[in-house]
Amino acid sequence: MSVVSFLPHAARIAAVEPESADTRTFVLRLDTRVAALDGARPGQFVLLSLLGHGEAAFTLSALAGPRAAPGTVVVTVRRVGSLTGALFELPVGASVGVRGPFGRGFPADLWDRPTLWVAGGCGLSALVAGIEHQIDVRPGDAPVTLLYGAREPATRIHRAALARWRERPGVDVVECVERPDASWDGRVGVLVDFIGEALVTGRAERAAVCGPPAMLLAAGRALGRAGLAPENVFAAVERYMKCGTGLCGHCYVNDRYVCTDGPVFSWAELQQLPDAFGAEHVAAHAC
Amino acid sequence: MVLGVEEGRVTDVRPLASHPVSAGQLCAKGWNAEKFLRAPDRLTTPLVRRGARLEPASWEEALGAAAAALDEAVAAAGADATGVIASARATNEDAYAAMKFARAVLGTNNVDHCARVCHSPSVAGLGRTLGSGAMTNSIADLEHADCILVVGADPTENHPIIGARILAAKPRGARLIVADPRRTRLARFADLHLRHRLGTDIPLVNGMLHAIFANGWEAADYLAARCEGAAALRASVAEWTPERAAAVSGVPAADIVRAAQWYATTARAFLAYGLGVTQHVCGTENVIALSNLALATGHVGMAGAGINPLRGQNNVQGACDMGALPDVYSGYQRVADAAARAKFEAGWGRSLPERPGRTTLAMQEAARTGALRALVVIGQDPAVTDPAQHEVHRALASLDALIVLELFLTETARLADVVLPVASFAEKDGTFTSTERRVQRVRRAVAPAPGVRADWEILEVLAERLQRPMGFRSAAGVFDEMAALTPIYAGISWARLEAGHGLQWPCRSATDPGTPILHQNRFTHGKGRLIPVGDVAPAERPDAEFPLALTTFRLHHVYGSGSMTRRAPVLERENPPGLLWIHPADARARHIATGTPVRIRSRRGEVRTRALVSSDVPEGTVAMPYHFAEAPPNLVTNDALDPIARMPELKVCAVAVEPC
Amino acid sequence: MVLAGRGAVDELRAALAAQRALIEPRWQGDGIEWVETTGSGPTAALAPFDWDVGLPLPSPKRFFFPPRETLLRWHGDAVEEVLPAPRPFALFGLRSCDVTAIAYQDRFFAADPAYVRRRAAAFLVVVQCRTACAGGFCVDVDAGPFASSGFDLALTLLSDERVLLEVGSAEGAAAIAAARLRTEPADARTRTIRGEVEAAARASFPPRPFIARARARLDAGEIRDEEWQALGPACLACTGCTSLCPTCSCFTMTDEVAAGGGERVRYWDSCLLEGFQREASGHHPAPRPGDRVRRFWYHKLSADFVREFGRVGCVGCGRCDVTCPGSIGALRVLERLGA
Repeated sequence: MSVVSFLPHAARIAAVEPESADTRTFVLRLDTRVAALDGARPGQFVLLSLLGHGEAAFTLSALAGPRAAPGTVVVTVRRVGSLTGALFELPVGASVGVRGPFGRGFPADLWDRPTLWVAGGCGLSALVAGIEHQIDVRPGDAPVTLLYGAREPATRIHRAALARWRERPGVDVVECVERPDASWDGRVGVLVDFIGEALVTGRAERAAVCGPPAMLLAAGRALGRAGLAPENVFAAVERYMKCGTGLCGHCYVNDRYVCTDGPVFSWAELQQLPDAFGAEHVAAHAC
Repeated sequence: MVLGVEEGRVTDVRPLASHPVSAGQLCAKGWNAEKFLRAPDRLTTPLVRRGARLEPASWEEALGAAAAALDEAVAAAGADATGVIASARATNEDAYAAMKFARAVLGTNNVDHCARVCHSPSVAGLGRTLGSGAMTNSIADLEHADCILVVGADPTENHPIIGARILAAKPRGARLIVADPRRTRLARFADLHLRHRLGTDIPLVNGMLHAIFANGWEAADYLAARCEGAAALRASVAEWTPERAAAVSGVPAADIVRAAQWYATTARAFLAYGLGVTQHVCGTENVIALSNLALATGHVGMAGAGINPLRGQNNVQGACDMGALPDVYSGYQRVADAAARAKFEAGWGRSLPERPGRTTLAMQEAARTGALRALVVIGQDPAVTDPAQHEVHRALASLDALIVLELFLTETARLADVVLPVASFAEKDGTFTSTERRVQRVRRAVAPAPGVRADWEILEVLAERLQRPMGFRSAAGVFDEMAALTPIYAGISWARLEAGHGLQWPCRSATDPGTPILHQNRFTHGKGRLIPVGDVAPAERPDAEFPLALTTFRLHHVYGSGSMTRRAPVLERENPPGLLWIHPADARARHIATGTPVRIRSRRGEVRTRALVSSDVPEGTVAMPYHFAEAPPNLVTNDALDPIARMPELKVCAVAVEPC
Repeated sequence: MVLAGRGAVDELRAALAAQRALIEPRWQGDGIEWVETTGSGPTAALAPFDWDVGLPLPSPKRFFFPPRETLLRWHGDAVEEVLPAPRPFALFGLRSCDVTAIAYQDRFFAADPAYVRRRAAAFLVVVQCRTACAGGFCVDVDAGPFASSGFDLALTLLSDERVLLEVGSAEGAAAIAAARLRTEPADARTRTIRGEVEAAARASFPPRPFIARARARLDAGEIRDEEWQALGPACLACTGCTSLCPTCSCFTMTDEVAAGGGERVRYWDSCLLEGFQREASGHHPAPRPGDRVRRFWYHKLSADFVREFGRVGCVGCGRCDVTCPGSIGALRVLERLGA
């Protein structure tokens, strides 16, 4: 068995694109090409390293292809703590380390099925690469539906991608916010309430979800009630990550590691992992 | 504990299964005790203030500056214009050197340490009632206790090994009574939780005493043979019926009676208490009340029982024993006692000041008025840990010279004129004395940074610069000198401490095996004294302007102001995101939820943090851990003092809380 | 399997000490520690072997997964990976519980570069337990009293004069040859005696039926949330259990900055700490102490881990019962859950 390495690949910030007040997309150019990163799959993640600040995990928000040159690593980062805070202070050209790609991404048989993507808040960043990939590789103009819920209009991210997707045939982007402002003329409400409608409209046979744990649980249940089998619903689970290699224990959920066995799990698998949704759910299911 | 060392660095800590006290256990702080040693901001060179900045300097320069400043202060305003605040964490040898430095080098009795703000009432209170202010029994007595009463402390948080023995006592049938306004972790295990209002310890105890006398549960024979003042005590609690005590304390009368019965009628009843008792304007009287309770029920001087103040810092007992106090030399020999003074004058070859000196807070007050010009602060962070922080800062800023001996650049060190780096516990040899009076060796595991030495060594060099050397050549030599002058330590030596796990004082001769249980035949001053105490209200109570009571407490994973523990990654990571504990009803009324940024205001100042909504605090009371420099409750706490022990009322003041 | 005289053990130790650091459990001061026994060459230079020394409180995992390990070092922007270059060493006197735990961690850390290097430098010699130790329950978790694999050599003291040596690897056989031990093959009668010694050891453990009951309840999903929440307050998160447990493996990584550079290091971590899984958003998958206690015992006792590791995580060494201030080490917890 081959051993892992904790040595990050050297990269530099090539571009920074603001998404919202506290979220930015970073385009990093690796000093040397890394085949594994060029071949990264949608749903996989990397660990960004800042010497002196440690590392943090981010799903790749673009993959080598039409929108990202080979040798680049693209991640969308929300400023929450010391490492992301330090990252936001760095200028273009500054050094950043990258480890990865890690994890199990979306399953291969997802791409050619009409899919409903359900994104809650910054969970959209974990799905962006998958949505882009499906739009590119689906048979013909097979339906791709995105249901994206943000807290309020100002917190919407990936707006350029959302606009671009709306232009593509067969792609339906449905948005809702919980707290509208004067400019908002779209749907208002809780994301999960729109799942039934979006599923029907998109004639989806698969669903992929990412968002806060409570939303994940509610969305999974709603999709189940709407008729999707657990093997056909996928969730990108998030956890505090440290090593990315299934060793440090921080991301474990029951007997699995989110970093190696996930972060994408099918709903059928999650039903065997009660800790995936937090203690409230587990309390109802004894161990 | 055992320190693992590889290539000159401490790599980990492990417990000792055979140790009679720790028995293979440590708390989270113990398991991480070595992490701060390699922190990158560990001080390795002296610092000297040049203008607004502290800059690295040579030892020559720094010691020269310190000596010059001390000389100048003495010359300008007399020896009492200087003072020393000793460390409760450094060794006995360091503490003894600190007090000798103050007295024999500077010529002042202005020497004190942080026991002032934690257990000075225990020293004062139990000193009056029993003749000795230390824990009367040993931690091992918990293994034989059938009733354990804990007042104003949560040992599972702050004395986890003692907490462990209490938790282990329950399965074998011991009954646990906890008296604390907060629902602490220990209270969750209690058979009876007396949730008394802040500052009502005396009414609660007097109510228990009333029930004890009324039901004939007192230890009549014991009182007759070994105590004085029983009649006066009985008369003084006649008015404290359980109903009256209940009305004042908020504890149901039936619970007061039940607690009294359990405690009084159980032969082996162990009473432990902490800062919830001492940190009040009536702290000394609170301690006397508990002592009355323990004596009236005959629980002092036998196994499985006793009255036991839980000392918090690793060597605060030792710092007290070494006489780093303004009114006593080592072994509690009084400065004002001519014979004691003559003995130390002969031992030290110097004439010594007669008048007791100033306490820590009095030194700060004197700094503010200009009466105190130069202060040496050793291993302590009063800028964070003392009440009314603005006043503390003002005091330290008013000094002509502040000289700090420290491991790190603490908030106090940042205000200094000279900072001298010191060796840590892992880098020097010496002794510590634990809360159960157990003197143990601490052994050097690794070398400190080049030039960095133990406190006593630095003070010796400074003394030589001041032309008044103390004559110290080795740590063992410091201990031997101290033991020769200190009857309760007279039989202890480094050689005796080499084998075994320490000796408990009093240990008066080389063949004395030490004293696990005090007062077995007689009290230190003969008979135990029962002293009536009346209700004393807190200095400041909630009112219309400041409608909530604020109390302070400690968390398991932080030690003091965190200079050591906050540099351990997994301990720092444990810090809660919000530092104001607030009851749900009080939170709702103010539109506060967990995580809401809040402002806490008092007559002294204001502090900001985030809220943590919890019914662990009673309605009407909020609570903050005192550790964190970024949100120190001491910006708002009250510096009103216990008149006897000069202890500030850190445990209760009036505040207003609002979201911000 | 071969037989030798009792003196062969010291000859073996001396021969190993000539090639490797010889590390053995030994009383040092007031505790049993893993001590590098100095001296090589003639047997007389080594301290006598102690067949009856108890289990050191620290587990031997520290030789492969140390409490602190540097992963990277940098100066300015130049970063290099740091890998250990351990001297060859022998752990002489492992008990079945600990060697079972080493095999468990061998699987867990198979992809870890530092662990693999340290492990490759090790030579493991087991002493088979002839009697139960005070707090151990290896027999109830299939981890003793005798080890059947995972060692280079295993020694059983059969009588005052004879020692049985089981060879567990080619290196073990080579060590016997290199030490020029005078041995004879073990015959059928000797094997029978070995069986009897093992059976006697097994029988010396007090019956603890609650262990099997607790494990069955756990695997059937029968343990109620309130049982875990009742244990929760007794957990102080002191991290003693996870530090001493020979199969615990969680760690954190942190950057330690020094002048002009720094190191990325890993330290032992503990899933009982509240901050272990708290997320930056504030969300916490295991917010109550009882949740974390449940998670820990799930990892140590659940049959779910047999698939990947061939056995449950707990090896019955009893260290957690010694070190837990809340009296909720393994036996105490199993007693409550299996009551």
